Amino acid sequence: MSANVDLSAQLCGVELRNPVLLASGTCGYGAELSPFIALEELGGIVAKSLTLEPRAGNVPPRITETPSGMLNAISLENIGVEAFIRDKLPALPPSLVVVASVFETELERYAEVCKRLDGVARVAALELNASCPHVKAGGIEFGQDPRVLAQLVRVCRQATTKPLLVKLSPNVTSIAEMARVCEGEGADGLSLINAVQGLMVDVHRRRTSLRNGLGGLSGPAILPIALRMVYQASRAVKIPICGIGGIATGEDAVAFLLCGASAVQVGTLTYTNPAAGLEVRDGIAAYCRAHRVARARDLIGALETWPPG
Amino acid sequence: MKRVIARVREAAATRLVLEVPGWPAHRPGQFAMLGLGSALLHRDPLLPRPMAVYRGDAGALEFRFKVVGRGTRIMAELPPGAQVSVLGPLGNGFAAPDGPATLVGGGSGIASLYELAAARPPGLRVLLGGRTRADILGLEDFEQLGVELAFATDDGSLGHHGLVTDLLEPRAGETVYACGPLGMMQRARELASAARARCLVSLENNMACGFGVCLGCVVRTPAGFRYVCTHGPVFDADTLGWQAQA
Repeated sequence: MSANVDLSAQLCGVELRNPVLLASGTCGYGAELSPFIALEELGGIVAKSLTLEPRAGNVPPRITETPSGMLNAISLENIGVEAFIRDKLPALPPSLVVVASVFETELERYAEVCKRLDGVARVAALELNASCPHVKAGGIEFGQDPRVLAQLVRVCRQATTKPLLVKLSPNVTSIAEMARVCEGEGADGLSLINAVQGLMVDVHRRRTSLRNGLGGLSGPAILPIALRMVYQASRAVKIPICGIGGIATGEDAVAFLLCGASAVQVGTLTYTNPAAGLEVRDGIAAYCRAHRVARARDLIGALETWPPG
Repeated sequence: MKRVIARVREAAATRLVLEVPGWPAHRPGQFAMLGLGSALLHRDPLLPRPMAVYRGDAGALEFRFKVVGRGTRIMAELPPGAQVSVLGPLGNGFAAPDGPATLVGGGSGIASLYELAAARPPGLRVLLGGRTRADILGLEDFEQLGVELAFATDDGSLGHHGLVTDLLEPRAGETVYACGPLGMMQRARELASAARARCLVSLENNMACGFGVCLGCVVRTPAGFRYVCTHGPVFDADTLGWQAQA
């Protein structure tokens, strides 16, 4: 499919076969997708966020459909970092780029998870989940307060020599400020955006649709928000950006590249089609052929400006 | 498990027949995720719908459902030839009975039981219930099987005037297969337990993916969360925490 077009990409020094990764929380630990796709054909995966100990998540109902999107309050259910290293990593294809996502409720614990993953050769990079919008004691404070975010990146930077990405929350006043804070503390790259805070109401039952009340909105509904934030962040920092937010097609992904992203993550669309990531990859190649672009990376930041009106 | 683009052969208020090329063999009680917006790249409605396979044969799959919301309304109005993505077969499905069996279906839950009934295991009883006669999905299909069959309706328009579980008299050592409202399944479990019968229930739940990555379809059990999509949809009723579900 991608013959004649160079799709190769680079993110924080990690070489990728193509610029399409699967977003954390939407591809499990990878093996869940093996019945449907050849995982190694992806640019990579960002595995489900890991905490020091296993974590059970919120009481259901914890997902609901919304216009062109969905709202979730899973609350980062996961098997814990040790079980991931022991049981999940060895099962993945050797040539698959695996990024580990790290989440915790305290600075020291974030650093501990980073430290534990630092020595694991199979993990290509770490992504700090600083932005989960539905955890009362966790991500929201880290990702929304520039001083707390700075502390977080600092302690995690000290805990790992691996490339360190920070996944930013969109629920902030200035994404550019948050991006600069991360760059200033030594982050190697940024992933954005995480889910947008939202709420849905079941009017017949007069209750919030989710038991948790608030949830994180994802899917095509948030694509323009994500594009805007990638556009702003890429103008604020020099470190590479991985664009995330409702990507369903190759053209959606190209829009993120044009706005300054070096790579992208397909998230919620994998729920609707386990092969969505590979179809997005094929769509980027098709776009490049149609527009005579030899290398997908030539699209990065290549947004044209309007002539003076 | 695979995902294919199917075409609508026939769609109506309670019935959808899809031409599904290359559908792998499935077991009774398994389900599929039906992507209704596949031609629109799933943007709206975004999520595929989990739907029990009612019956399948050479190249076609039939689904039975009640229109309860936007997704099922779209399903009911699909024009012939429309594209629907089908991911499946998913879930564990029912274990085949190894002795006498009673099937208890309520409302749209009836759809999960047809293929089990159609296998006509020896000593089979089938009990179907709904609010009214029109709620008994596949009524004529079940009647044509020639199995021991009884009905219950809330309004008395068909069979016993009352609950379908009023008709349930589990036999010691048999398996009761139940799919329907939680209260119905809970009652089936109580009656089965009292009669020293085994009770298997098939749960339904909202889910985004159907294959274990969205983690949206959890149910609480005494042993922790279980996922309806990959641990179920069929569970031994004794392993579920019934009070927590209600």
